[in-house]
Amino acid sequence: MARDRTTADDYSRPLRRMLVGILVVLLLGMYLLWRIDSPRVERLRIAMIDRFVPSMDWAMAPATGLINIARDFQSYTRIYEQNQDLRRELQQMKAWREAALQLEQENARLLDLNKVRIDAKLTHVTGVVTADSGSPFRQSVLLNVGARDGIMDGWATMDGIGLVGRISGVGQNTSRVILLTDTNSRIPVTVQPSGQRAILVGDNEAAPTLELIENRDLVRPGDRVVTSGDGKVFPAGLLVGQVAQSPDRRLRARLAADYERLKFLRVLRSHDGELIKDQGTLLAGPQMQQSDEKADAQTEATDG
Amino acid sequence: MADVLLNPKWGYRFLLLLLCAVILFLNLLPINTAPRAWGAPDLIACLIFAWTLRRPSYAPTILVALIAFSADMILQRPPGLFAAGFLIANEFLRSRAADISTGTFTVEWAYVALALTAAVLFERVLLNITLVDTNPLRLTLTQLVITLLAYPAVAAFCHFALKLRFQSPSDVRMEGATQ
Repeated sequence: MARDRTTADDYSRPLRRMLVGILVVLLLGMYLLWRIDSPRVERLRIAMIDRFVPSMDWAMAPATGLINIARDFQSYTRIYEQNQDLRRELQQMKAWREAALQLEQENARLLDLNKVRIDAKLTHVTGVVTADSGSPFRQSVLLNVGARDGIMDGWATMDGIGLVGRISGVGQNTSRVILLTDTNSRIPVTVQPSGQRAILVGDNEAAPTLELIENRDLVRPGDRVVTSGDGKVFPAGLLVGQVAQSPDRRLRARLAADYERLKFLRVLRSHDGELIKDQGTLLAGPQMQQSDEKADAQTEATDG
Repeated sequence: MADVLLNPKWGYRFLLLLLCAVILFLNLLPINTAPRAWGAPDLIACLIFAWTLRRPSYAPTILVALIAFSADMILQRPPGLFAAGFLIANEFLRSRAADISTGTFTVEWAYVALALTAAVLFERVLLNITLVDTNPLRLTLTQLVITLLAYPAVAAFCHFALKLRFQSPSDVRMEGATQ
């Protein structure tokens, strides 16, 4: 090495080596701890984010707003095309609106006849998306509601139309939603009208895949996908999207929720949720051994 | 006290921390929540590498470890794993800083590419050994390539905007005199 060694260098080099060694061991130790006891470290993580992110809220909202304004401005250049598209869509929507109104009236009449009361447990808490995962490998968003607002792990999250994801990690003021597109997301679903059961598996693509379908022939592109409620992961009947076939002949679900712009999300106060306290119960929980066919509907793990 | 505040060493250390916080902040903005087909560049890695190569004393090991670990925690990566590989890569570059400073930029770029690829490989191998799901290979590779393409821009930013230049022998002597 072409470097003149001073006495200070000779003296500091072993010390530096030792410092680097200690730091690397500490970091790898942290990783091993996470590998062994993931929920505990994840709680530490959410506590850290809970401290860090809300304090930047004052800057985040205006920055996001500004960037969105700039983007909207760009889209003015395509305004004519958009206008044409919107007119065409409006025509279709008018037909649907008529259908919806008729169905609404019919539904109201039937409910009245049956004296049905809608489940009061299905209320929701609405939160605003304050941050996303910040990395292209993880699909999740951070909401500004947390344990303070009674949010619990495992609750379903929707935008105005369809299912968006599942709460995983609750801090005092924030909670993290794992989106359906995340590679860790596994949701039991039913395909209507054939009633076929499937698992919706996220794979970092815009449309998650449908796997473990009982009979593929009964499922056609365009069918509705709703949650099945199996394994008590989610309440049944929440709209997920439509079946679509990708060029490699895999069945995927085109999501109903608008993933391009997630802003306000509602968290369904649905049930107590499957709490994952330690990793042992993840592999063979007591309720899993008891329940019969439903056992295959696996809850998603919090670890990555 | 004023001595510490006026010292460029501390000023640049603080600046590094600040820039990394800003990059994390920009990453967290919920601008696009739909999955992307390519990975955004890891600007924090570029910045720390450029800093370490130009002025090793302005990027102390503890600060680098702290930033890398916080980035792991906040960006939902396995905590500490990438930070450990990154720290080793950074120390490798630090030990070569004196050689690189006399060479051309291409040499520096090649060293950075080597260090970053090794850090990513280290993470992937350890994830596989510990049976954790790895990220899609395509995303990891695109992120690596884009990060390496972004490095010259970051280095130019450090050189021209922040006046962070390679040490000349006279600087070394002056720094030795003040220590």
